[in-house]
Amino acid sequence: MKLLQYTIRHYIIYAIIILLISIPLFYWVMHIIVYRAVDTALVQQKKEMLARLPQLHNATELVIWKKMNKDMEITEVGYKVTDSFYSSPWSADGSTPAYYRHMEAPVNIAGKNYKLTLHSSLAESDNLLLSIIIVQSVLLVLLLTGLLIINRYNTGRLWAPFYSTLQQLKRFDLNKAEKVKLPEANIEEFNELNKTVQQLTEQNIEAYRSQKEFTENASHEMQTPLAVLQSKLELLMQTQPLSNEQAELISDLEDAGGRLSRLNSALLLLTRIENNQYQSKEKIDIVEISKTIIGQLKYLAEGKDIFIHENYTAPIVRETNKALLEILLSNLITNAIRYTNNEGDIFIETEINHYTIRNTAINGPLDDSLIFNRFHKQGNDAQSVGLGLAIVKKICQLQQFQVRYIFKNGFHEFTVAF
Amino acid sequence: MKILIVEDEKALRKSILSYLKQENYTCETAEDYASAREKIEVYDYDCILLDISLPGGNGLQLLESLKTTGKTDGVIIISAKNALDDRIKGLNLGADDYLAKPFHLSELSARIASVIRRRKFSGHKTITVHEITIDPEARTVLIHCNPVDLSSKEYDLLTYFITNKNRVISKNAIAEHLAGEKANTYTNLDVVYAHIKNLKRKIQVAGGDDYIESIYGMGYKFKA
Repeated sequence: MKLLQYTIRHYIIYAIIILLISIPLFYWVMHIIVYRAVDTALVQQKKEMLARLPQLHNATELVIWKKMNKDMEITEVGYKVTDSFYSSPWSADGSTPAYYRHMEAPVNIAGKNYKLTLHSSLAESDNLLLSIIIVQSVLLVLLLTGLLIINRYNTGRLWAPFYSTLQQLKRFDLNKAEKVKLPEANIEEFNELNKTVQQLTEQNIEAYRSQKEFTENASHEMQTPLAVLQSKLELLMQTQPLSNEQAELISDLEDAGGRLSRLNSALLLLTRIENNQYQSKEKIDIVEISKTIIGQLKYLAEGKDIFIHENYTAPIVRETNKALLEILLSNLITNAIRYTNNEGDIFIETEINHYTIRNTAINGPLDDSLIFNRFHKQGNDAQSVGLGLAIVKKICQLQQFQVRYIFKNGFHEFTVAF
Repeated sequence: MKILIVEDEKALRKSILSYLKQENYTCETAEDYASAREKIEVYDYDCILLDISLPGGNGLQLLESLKTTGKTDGVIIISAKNALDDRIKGLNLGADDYLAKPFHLSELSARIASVIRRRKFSGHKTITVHEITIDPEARTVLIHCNPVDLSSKEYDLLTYFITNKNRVISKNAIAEHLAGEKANTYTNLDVVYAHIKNLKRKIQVAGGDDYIESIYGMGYKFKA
């Protein structure tokens, strides 16, 4: 749930509860007030009546009086009457009855007990009541919706710096090392948040940079001792006499040294790519580069009797870094040669903006969630350092190419979309 | 042939010195910027092996001053950095070659031979070992004066063997040499073996002796 929705939801719930409670309550209170007013008027009317009644002296006068005052009734009763009020439909002249308020009161005329019934129409009072209720309800609804809208607008404005910060953070990419630029907000808390975020990202960039720098420096520093190791072993090879046992030991050492230096240079390359050291761009004919690299690597394929089928149906020309592109293609091609059995096939094809390389698979499909990871090795090839595809991935990321792996009809297929 | 080795790492300097001395080169060494500068100014060398990061200065500066004074010494940069920028900068400043550490001594020796050959004879010189004659300019090989049809890799192998003749060259060094600098992430020893077999066969068919000897466990040696 969004922040704005969340705060507004509480307001809406509160407004609905208030409306639901207040409208009946209001009606009830108004009802009591109106009826009380009607009753008071009836009591007043009764008092006036009682003041005039002593003028009547006999039953005949009463009959005449009754005829003149249609809106009241006086009936002789044998029981004791007390003042009471009630509402019921009534009609003075026998037409359609309407709601009236009635008051009964005892009167004494010429020593006899009578019941005086007074009537007061409720139609007007009910109309008034209804009008008041409608006006009040409309006002209440207007008030609450108005408050909601104003509140929503205000919170929207209030949180705007927060959303802008959020957007910036979403765009933040540690690899690009671009500092987050946050606008000054009116609210102190947001300014504090922005400042903290800014510091945090800057620290991150710095930590990441120094970590990359460390990897690069460490790899550099390793090159010289590796060179010493390798050169001493080569000199050792020249010494005479060497037993077979010694020769094997030297050879194993040399293999390990070679592996270490391959690993080191791959790591170095990876950190260099990450450190954005390949920035220059030029127009590159990718098909041309592919042909050159295959020319250089063909001897490896020939040594394994692998046939490379090249089929460039579409030219691909891109503005990119030449060195990186060469590394990208040569890594994919050497991988294909490495992981194809003797007498297998490699197909290299281009379509519009797509470069595809397929090779006969030795085993089943590769796990495409892992193959681009660093140090993920297929099988236990001592030659492999497990960085080739990680480098491919990194280059693609940096140059905004897409690389994709699928397994189809017994072929591993890598496609780079330029 | 006079060679100056400018390298601050003592152990590596000694290795290079010891390997090159057996090739009948006259070698001198410099271990820092100042001594290297002095030697370069005073003497002429056929080839200078130049490390970039030196105590007291940068090897590229030495290269620059060498070129501005109009000296024609061949220069091979040997650097641990192998950064693309350095390589391009070095070659632009007039270095003849660039070799990234760690390297094989046999590779270094082949590069030196190639630089000296190019400088001294503008490339027009053949290399002859017994009945085998190589023309590096035309990349052709004659055995008993008859041309031998070698593939590009076989030709590379043969010149590599000949520049390192009578030395044990490790399988890995050969594999990396064949791969070249750009594609040495993957080397395959079986492929090396196949190429050597073909080369030996072609030399024998052309009437040459079998000079390439397999050294148990380690690699090969061209005995001449």
